[in-house]
Amino acid sequence: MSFEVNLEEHGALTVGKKDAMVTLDSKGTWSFQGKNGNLAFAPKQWHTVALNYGTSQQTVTVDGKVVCNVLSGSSKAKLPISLSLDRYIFASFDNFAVVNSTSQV
Amino acid sequence: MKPQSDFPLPYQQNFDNEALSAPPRLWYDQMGAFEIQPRVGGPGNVMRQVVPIWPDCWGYSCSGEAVTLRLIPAYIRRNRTPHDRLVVKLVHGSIHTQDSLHMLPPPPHTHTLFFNSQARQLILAQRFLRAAST
Repeated sequence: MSFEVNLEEHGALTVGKKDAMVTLDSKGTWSFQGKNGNLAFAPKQWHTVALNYGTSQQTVTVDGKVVCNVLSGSSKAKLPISLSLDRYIFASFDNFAVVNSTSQV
Repeated sequence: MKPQSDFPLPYQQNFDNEALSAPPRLWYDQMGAFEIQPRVGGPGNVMRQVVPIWPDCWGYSCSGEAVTLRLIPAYIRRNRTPHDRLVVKLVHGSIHTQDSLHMLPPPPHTHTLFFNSQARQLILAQRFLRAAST
């Protein structure tokens, strides 16, 4: 699954399948499957986000850089995919795609 | 209900052929106030959250919503409306709200906030002010 996102103010985006949601905060943090860390996810600019739900690992990529790679606990959930923001802010999403392959949804 | 068929994959949606100001195709909006808007600075359309404040509850319950509210001192303690009571929980420095129209007891470590949905102003209980300042 991949898409572009532009948060026009600071906010945290949570997206994914119900058993594998990633949160990306424009203040520079991410969390996914109990792990967390830092990333560049500034507001007022477009970012490309990709979530790869593989059978043996799950990967979150932001702007082409791997943010998190979980080696165990593959997602068993299928659709739906949910997307939410922690604040009511102006925010745009574009070029949403879901691909079904041996390594993705 | 079991779907008649699997969701068709691969799936792509660039929103360009969707009606402006309409909800995005296939997305179910749960109080997010998303709609199709032109992409600023580029061609085509985007799916955009277009409400920068808590929206009115469009005929259904707001229970379970959790958004961060901005605290604006000038809005404090105006026109308190008991039916619009919310509870507030401090989480890592952010302020999240949960609708309490059903008068459920507030969870621990929460403080009462009053929300005037008509004027779209925030009215903050004094005890929350004291808690927030500590």
